[in-house]
Amino acid sequence: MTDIEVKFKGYEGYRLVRKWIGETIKKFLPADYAGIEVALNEAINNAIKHGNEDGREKWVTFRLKLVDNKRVIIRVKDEGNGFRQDQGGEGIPCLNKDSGRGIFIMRHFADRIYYNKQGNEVMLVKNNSLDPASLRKKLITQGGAI
Amino acid sequence: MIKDIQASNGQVRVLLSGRIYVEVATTIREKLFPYIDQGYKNFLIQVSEVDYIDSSGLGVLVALQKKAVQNGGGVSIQGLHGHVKELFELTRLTRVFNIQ
Repeated sequence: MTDIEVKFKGYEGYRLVRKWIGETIKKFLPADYAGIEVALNEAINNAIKHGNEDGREKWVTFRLKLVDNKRVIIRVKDEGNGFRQDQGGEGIPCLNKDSGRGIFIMRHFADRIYYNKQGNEVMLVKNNSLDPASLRKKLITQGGAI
Repeated sequence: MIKDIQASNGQVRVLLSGRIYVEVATTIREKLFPYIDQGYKNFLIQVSEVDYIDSSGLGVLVALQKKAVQNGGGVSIQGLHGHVKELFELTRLTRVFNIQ
């Protein structure tokens, strides 16, 4: 099991590690990285902008765990007071709003999404579609068989 | 990044490229919104060289569209492809812009 933790402050800090995070995701999930990269970027943007209220001295903790080559678990934590999960993200965002699409996008590209009790940490789970067990499950769901 | 901006005959043609993150969305707002104040109301955004966009990038284009429509114009998006196209379709923004 691979377990990586990175901490950074603000957008400037994120820009320094963003490329490395993307390349690491691509290495772990060669067939699925594009969507989950978008999702984790949304999570990090939310942590910086909303969780830490754009505070340049506040930390965002990014944690990435690869579990037996079967799935990637991503955790993004901010130093804020937390987010109420009923505050949005259900259904398609309003078309004429400038914002409010981040959680919707996260829910689409992650296989599972969880928040901690306080609401200042989000966990995204993405299965490796190249893993035979994941592929078998997907085929069965679609009415096929191996 | 914003690769090029050309303004003529009431239209602003914008060529975007690469990855549209928060900082690029901020730059788009800073560079393009003044054209609204100058009287331009039609925008053509070329995204064939864009391989990534996040919700902040989508949001600034929506904001631009709203201002353009208020002035009797609009925003056209040209060159949607790959994951960028997928995001526009997922968020139903293909119904908001004129997609070419």
